[in-house]
Amino acid sequence: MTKTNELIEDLVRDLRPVRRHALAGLLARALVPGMALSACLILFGHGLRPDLGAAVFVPAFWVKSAYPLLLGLIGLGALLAVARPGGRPLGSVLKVTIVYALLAALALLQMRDASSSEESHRLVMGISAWFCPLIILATGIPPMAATFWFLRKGAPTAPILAGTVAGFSAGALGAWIYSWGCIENGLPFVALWYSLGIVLCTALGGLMGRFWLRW
Amino acid sequence: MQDVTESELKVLMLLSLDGDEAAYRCLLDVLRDLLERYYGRRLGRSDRSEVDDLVQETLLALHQRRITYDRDRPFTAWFFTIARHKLVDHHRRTGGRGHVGLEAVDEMPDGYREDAVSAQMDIQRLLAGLPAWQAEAIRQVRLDGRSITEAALHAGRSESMVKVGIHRGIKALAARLRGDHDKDE
Repeated sequence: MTKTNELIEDLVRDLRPVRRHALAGLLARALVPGMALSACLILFGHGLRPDLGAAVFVPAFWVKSAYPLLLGLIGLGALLAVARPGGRPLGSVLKVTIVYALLAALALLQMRDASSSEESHRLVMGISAWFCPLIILATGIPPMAATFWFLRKGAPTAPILAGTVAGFSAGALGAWIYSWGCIENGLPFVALWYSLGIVLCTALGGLMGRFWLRW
Repeated sequence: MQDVTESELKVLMLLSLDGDEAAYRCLLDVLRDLLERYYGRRLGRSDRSEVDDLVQETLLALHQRRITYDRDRPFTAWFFTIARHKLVDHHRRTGGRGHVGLEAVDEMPDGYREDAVSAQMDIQRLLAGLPAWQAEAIRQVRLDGRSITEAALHAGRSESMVKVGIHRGIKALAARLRGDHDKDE
């Protein structure tokens, strides 16, 4: 009884105002260093794609960049939902499906227009198929540290779900950063190997959530 | 205790989020009682110290994670989701000992389900006990987020009068809740 009284007094003394959009602010504050670190990793460890000047005129380059960025933004919205007690980001699943379906449709169009079987093969496998998911996993780690730091300050009541969302968002944002260094222009490549990288991050996040998001 | 409604708790929470210590102390006191009954009923009265631990953990969680409260949603739904989470965690740690059954975990305390409470989100009733201009000042500044200056202009009073009005209104409000609360014991 008296211990509870003391606790209440301690909490009252420690009271600081909380602004209306404080949760989104906290997420932003977590992401800035995470994204910056990931960008440094690509800039200095890998390098921007050498033909970036020409690539910005290729529509496929922008589709390749927009796909993970959209997934990342959907993920961040879902992250704000799962950070609250009882939060279930149901709408996000539908949004992700729509974005993926759009990419798949564009990828099929690109395949249809391919002039030779070598070109089709290049569109699907590129020259770095095995490397792409791994580097996306690597660029996803710093944002993942950010999303987990954020969730640990939040109140997620479903740890595995929350970790999965955190891993997905981080993987998508990492893939977006990598899209500035990646030399591929094939959308089937993106639909397969970028997605695989994001899935790896998602699975890792779910696993970590199980252990690190209990409170 | 049914005197303490969603709307009253929500006002106290909103004031607390703005940094009002008196409102926060009052909120924590009321919640402590709600929690003692919530956990007491689910763990059995014999586990007095376990109930106390859970109450303290939950109040601490409210404090540390209050950033996750959405001002536009019902307070009690948010709060009892945390309380329930702590109870589930307690059962997990103790290996389900003293399991009252999951239906007991699932059930929100009487009248605090989101649908039940949304209907009675009646802040007017809570503020009705105050002098009209004080209630209006609290409503404008603390609930609608307007500035003291705007509220003063609207009320045709000086800014310092508005501040004093808000302060007195909150004290009266806290005292009233406190009174209701003690009678219930």
